Amino acid sequence: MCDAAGDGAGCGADTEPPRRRRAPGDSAARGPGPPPRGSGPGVPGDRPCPHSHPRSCMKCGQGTAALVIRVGDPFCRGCFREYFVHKFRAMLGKNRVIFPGEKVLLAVSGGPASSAMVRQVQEGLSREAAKRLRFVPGLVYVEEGAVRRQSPEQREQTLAQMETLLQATGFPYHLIHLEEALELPPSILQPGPERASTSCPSGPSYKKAVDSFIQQQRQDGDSGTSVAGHSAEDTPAGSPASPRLPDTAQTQELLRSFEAVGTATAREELLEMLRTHLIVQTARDRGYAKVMMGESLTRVAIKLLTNLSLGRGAFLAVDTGFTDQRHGDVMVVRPMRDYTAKEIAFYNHFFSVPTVIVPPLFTKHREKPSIHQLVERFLLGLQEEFPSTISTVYRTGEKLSPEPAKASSESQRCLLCLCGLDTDGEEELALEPTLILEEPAAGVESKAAYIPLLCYSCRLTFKELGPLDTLPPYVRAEGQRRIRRAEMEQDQENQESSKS
Amino acid sequence: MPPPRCSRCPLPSSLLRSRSLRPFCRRCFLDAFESETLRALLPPQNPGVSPRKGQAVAVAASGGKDSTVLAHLLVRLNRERGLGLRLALLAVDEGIWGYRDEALGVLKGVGVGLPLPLLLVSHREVFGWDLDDLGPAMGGRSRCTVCGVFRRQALERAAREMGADWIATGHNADDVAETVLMNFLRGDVARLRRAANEASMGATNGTSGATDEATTATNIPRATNEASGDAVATNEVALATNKVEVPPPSMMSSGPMDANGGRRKLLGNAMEFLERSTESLEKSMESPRNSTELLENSTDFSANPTKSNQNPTESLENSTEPDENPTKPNENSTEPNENSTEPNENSTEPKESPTKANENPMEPNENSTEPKESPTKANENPMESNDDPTKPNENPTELNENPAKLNENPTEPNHNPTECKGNSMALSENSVKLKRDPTKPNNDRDPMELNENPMKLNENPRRLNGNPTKPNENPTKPNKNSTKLKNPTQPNENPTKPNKNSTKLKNPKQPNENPTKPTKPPRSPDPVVPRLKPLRHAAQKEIVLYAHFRGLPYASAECRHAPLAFRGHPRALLKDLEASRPAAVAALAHSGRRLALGAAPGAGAAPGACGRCGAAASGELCMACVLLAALDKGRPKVALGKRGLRAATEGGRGGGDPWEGGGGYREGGGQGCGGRGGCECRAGGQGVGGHGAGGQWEEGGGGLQDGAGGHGGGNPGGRAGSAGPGDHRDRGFGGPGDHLAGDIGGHSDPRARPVQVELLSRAGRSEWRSLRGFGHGRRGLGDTRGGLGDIWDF
Repeated sequence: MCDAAGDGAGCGADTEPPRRRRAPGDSAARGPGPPPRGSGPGVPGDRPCPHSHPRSCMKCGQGTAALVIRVGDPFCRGCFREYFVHKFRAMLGKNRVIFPGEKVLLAVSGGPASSAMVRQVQEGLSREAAKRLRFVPGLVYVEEGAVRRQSPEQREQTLAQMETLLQATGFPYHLIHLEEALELPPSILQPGPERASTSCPSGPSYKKAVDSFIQQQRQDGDSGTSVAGHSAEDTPAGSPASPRLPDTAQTQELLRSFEAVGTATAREELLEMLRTHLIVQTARDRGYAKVMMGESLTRVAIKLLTNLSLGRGAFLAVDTGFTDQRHGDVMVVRPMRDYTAKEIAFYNHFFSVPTVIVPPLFTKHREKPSIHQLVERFLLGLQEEFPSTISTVYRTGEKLSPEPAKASSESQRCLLCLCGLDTDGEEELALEPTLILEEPAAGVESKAAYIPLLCYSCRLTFKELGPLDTLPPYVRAEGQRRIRRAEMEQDQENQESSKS
Repeated sequence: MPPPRCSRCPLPSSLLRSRSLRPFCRRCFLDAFESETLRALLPPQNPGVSPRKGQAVAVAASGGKDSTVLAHLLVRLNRERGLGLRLALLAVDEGIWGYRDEALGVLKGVGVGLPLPLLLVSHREVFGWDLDDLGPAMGGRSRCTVCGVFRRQALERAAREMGADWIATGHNADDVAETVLMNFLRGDVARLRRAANEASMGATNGTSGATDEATTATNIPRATNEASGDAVATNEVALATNKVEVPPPSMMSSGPMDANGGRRKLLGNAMEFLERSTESLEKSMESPRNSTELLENSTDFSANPTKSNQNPTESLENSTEPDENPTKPNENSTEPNENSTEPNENSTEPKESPTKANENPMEPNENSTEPKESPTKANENPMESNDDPTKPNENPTELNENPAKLNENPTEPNHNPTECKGNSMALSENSVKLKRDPTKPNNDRDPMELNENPMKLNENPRRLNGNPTKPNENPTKPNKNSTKLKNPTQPNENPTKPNKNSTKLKNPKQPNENPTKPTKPPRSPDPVVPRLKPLRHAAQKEIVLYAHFRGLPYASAECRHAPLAFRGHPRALLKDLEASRPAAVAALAHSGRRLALGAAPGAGAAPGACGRCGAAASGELCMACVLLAALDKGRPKVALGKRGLRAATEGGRGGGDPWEGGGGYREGGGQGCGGRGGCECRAGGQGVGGHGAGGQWEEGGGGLQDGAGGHGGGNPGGRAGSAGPGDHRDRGFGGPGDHLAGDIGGHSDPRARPVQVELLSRAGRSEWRSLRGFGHGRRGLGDTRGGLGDIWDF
């Protein structure tokens, strides 16, 4: 989930054709990255701007502009910071899903967006009492060095970097290795029981929760200031100074899983699935009610188009929306989805938010690029030419409803992505690509038996995963359970029908 | 490594199927490809959205691979699997030199080889612009938008002209996926939604489709019966859909009357609507009779509670009409059933009996005296169904409901004479509501059937309204409302009050003043010819292979304007995606079908009609008219959407609001028309002198005064107007031709000019035909509808 590629795209946004307000000094953007381009030299009828003197901030009118966010909107540093912070708070305030006093797990990848998110939470918690964010944060980092082709030394190094970064926040944090996904319980593939407090996040109950929280705080008096203080308990007991890597045997098994995957696309999906499950499981185990993911607007747009291409049209809204409730007790929230990658990059730069860069997921020799990569490259490229591309895609995604992802029963819920099956009523010919037609005799258990448990896109991905014995054990265990259950139900039906 | 074997036979394989990635040999591939196309053409779970035996399918052909393969497949399947379809090729010449002309050359060969007749229409003739001419006008911008919009409309119009039941296009799986990507990239939520909803509707439509077939099945054996027979057929359908075994409503409700009379009355009325189209054949004969009926009816109304006896007699008269055309009413009766079950396809249904649909618009044109007729019949229906509840007063409680609902309505119709702007629409809706109400009292007896019957009735008036050429429909609506409103209340208060009746009698007169006022005709769009995409699951690669294996000739040049189009971007992405994962193409299509965009705002409402050309349009004008207006004004840079619309209509505002037509309709005077006051539009921009008459095209006025010619003449732009409904009135008097002739003299407007189309017979014989009123912009001119109906056997 790193937005490393976002910066270039963000700068492209500057070159929006001069439709609205002509900004006479795009050069005011003094930041890192590519030198400011004289707004779209290719656009016909565009005059080169002779003004090179610094512009003033459009908001306060005094400070020197440091950054042009959109065409004609130069901001000075102070105002940009305010704008950025306000956006975060507005996002949370508008949606009102995070209750006061609730434990919230921030998923940190070390990339720009999630790092900026952590900074926002830090700032929000350090403000004066009236404006302070009222939830209790925790951090989680999933270490994926194994599948990113990092040597053990590199992994140690990255891990140490991340740990100092996490420690610096003062929040409790959890370091997880991707290898731990092999030990996930099968229950992660079922939505947890909804908690009473989160079951109805409607207006009045939210208000009530806020009121009672404030009252309680008053009773507690000043002792309540140590919101971020009680962190020690959650920190892994192992000595934080020298984080240990998992067993090589586990690493090997994980790699076997990933190497057995036939395509880069399915590998990306597998990684994403394991990571999400690990984070949700961590939240579930430690009593976090919410998980915050740091997907930026740019990332959301890429994900929308990627998932569209993967066949997840029905689930776009849950995959990218502000709230994602498919896991039941743990709600995934995406508070950064209003920020473009450019805004985030500049924020991190101006206010020195540290980030950690990790290499991308490995690909095999001469393998076709994944759909994820293709779409990202395509969108960022098109954004250069048509500067409204990314925001258009994002806004299109906003119009989608999360309804079809809701599953009525277990048999109607996809094994892997927990969304409602979207294969009913589909034409036979349209479903043909999702079927496993012939399989080299795999013994008792066949991959084809899993297909009915999966949604359209997970079927396609599942087909490209390796043989069953390379699947993560929890997936296999849960899959077998459901297959058996379906068989039993079938038998019962048969018996009943034969009786009658 | 030896080449893999075909997965179906022992031969070595020659390709991998795109969808299943299984190896196939050439022969097995051809077989599989053909049977898959057949399955896509006639989806087994979904018989409602597939063509039936004897229907006419226009194959939209470009000469490229997709359409060539499609035409070939349809001919082959038709022959080998006995589909019984009537097929013809339909091509549009966009006027792209070096590309389309060559493709059309190939296409002509394809047509002769298949052999299929070919109809060729050109953008130049229909819209007045060749694509190549657009170069300077577009100022270097992509002209693909214009081309696409025009082409779709040209196809639509030509197919209607041919009397086609379906348009088959060669969209393949790649095209579908590309469209999903493209619409998503462009944020075209409306299109995404439409595609998704159509798909989901198609999936659920299976049952209704089944009932369609049931209706035809039941109707055919009774083809020689009279109206009552048809009524029974419709009832059966209702039963089938509801799965409720209830005897026909008429039997139950006949109460005091004799059973036959009751049935005829209820259902025979429904028939009247349907028969109208057929009646148009014998117009001259029947119209006098109808008018007499009218009179009878109105008297009936007044004395409703007492004179229940007359109704059965009327209905007897009515039922005798169909005897003259025993077969036609039957055809008609099937349509309303479809309407009731598949509301979404309403607009298309009328096409299914091409003759009927073709004749409909003719009615008013030919008979000046007739306009009376339709109103009266419309009146009869609601009235009589009202009668039923009143007679069996056994359900007093339910009757009480009626007045309540109906009472809401009376206010609305009252507005009409005064407000008269957009009320005609409201009126028609009112009438719909009213018609439903009368059925309520019957609910407990045969809930389903009666509900359905009124639905059918409702559909028809709508359609009638859709004929812009019937100015007299407006007046009729108020009649209905006012009369209806009072009737239901009577039985409750005083079944025998004669006073109210007398007021009712007055009502019919009021509306005569109304007609002039509603300036906005109730517009319902020209029926859309439904589309078929039998190749929607076929990968482009396989289509190419199929053409290759079968040795089909096709043109493979790329349009030289294509590189400018935005579509190139999603297409490039799609190619990459497909290379990375072949299933991505199918996955995108699947995603597109599953997007949860909810119902469109204003869903359920029938699509509106373009104010100028009558095509289905989401706004006041269709895309083609917006673009055309922009081109005509030399402002091609205005995009589609609101700005374009504004640009297109602003000229019209000069002479008053385009929809109201300013003084135009007032000049129309008592005769009413006016309806088309608004459409004019294009002229507005150029119409220097044209406004004086109270609205540029204001045909309404123009037509009446016979001033159309002069009016147009004052319009240097040469686009004057013409043809609003006003002229039909003219036509009524003077015959269809003369008004048109006037137009033609005055302007170079393509809509007024006869349009040349080329027909190629199966044998390759070329014939040019000149069609009047086919040009873009003219709506509802009955004179050419179905003018190419003979192409199927050409």
